[in-house]
Amino acid sequence: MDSLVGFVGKNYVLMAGDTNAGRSIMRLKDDFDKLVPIDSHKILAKSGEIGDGNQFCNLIIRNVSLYRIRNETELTTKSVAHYTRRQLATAIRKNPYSVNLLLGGYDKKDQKGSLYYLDYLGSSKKINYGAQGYAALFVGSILDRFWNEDLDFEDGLELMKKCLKEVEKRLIIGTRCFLIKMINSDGISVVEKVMINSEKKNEIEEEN
Amino acid sequence: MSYDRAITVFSPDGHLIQVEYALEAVKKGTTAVGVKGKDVLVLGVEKKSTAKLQDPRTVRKIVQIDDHICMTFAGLTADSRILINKARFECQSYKYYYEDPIGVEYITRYIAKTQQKYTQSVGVRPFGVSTLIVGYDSKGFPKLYQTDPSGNFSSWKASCIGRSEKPVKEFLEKNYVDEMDEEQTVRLTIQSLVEVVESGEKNIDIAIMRKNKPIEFLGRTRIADIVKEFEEEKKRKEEED
Repeated sequence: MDSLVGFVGKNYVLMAGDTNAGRSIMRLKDDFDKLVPIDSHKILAKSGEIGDGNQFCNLIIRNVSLYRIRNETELTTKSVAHYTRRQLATAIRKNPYSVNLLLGGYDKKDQKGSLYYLDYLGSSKKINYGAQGYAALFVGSILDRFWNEDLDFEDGLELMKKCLKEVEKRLIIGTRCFLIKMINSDGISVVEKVMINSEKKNEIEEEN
Repeated sequence: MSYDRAITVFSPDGHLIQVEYALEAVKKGTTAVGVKGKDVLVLGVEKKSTAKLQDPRTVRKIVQIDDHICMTFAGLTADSRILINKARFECQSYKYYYEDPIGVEYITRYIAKTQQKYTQSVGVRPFGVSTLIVGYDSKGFPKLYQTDPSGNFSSWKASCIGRSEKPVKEFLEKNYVDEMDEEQTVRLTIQSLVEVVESGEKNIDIAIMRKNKPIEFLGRTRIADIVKEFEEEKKRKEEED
């Protein structure tokens, strides 16, 4: 099951997703990138049905490109979020896309990052920090405690790793590998591909 | 019996009169030139002189169809908007289905097919537009294509459409050489336009398409400098004679 985490920092957006792609109990791929770039400064993190995610993200990317070519200007993150939500909302009662998304973007005009939570029913909310999938169960409290809007990049990365460590520790299905990406004024960059290994005891205690 | 009413009707001598009238409309439009160099493509257009109170920046004749393809046109501006819109949509549609960026010939064929469709349909008239399409093909070679209202298209080394098509084409035929570098290509484009455009360099727009790079519009001062060099050269030649 997918885990996506994201939050807004001082002048960046940090997003992470696990790199598993699976079907029922089988792991099909362990280097699956769930953080899809929509344009130079926006990422759509997808979770849920893989096929639906691919199709839906493709649709959004192509329409955002078409807007850019037609109007010679890029859409803001807010506009893309609204457009995406509209697509999900019209689809839900006809041919639903089983995807839950986190949309992160940096707008050069406001010089600010923003994050949106979208789900397959067509809800959308602007958030400062959040998660999709099972990660949401564990990560919410950590971010509540430690997030603040002036997080600089190093502290932000540390906070992200704290979240991912908790996901690895508590989620019964192994999802140790995560891909972390950052969006700032320079665009999208891959920060790190982390393998989280929480501390484990090496010995089996003997019973007396 | 008038054979120029409905475009679906052939005239007795085998002409589609409406299509030929559309070509006449193109000949009334402002000039557009395209030149292919060794690894560069240059488009030059004559800008229609804007009225005093009009904002000149809103009149754009060289447009981007996709990140790697540009086009310009001669003829009815409003008609060209339809073609440009359809072409832009088709580019994204192609990428949606095939994940690859569209090919220059592919989109040219699409635009030409659209133009032909409107010469063989009920209740519509042909597009009064000829287009010049530039881009790099899958092997990385620069390509220049031209379409016209009849739906014909072909690839060119250098071509011209619009008002001053004849004199500019003659000039290009005389002065074009293969494998020109960027500087030579730009100069040839500007030179071919400067003779025919009224009020000189202020009404010329030049765009350069380099491989894997976004389109670049040449600045006003650069165009003015090159035009000045031509005029000085001309004066020198006249003095020598």
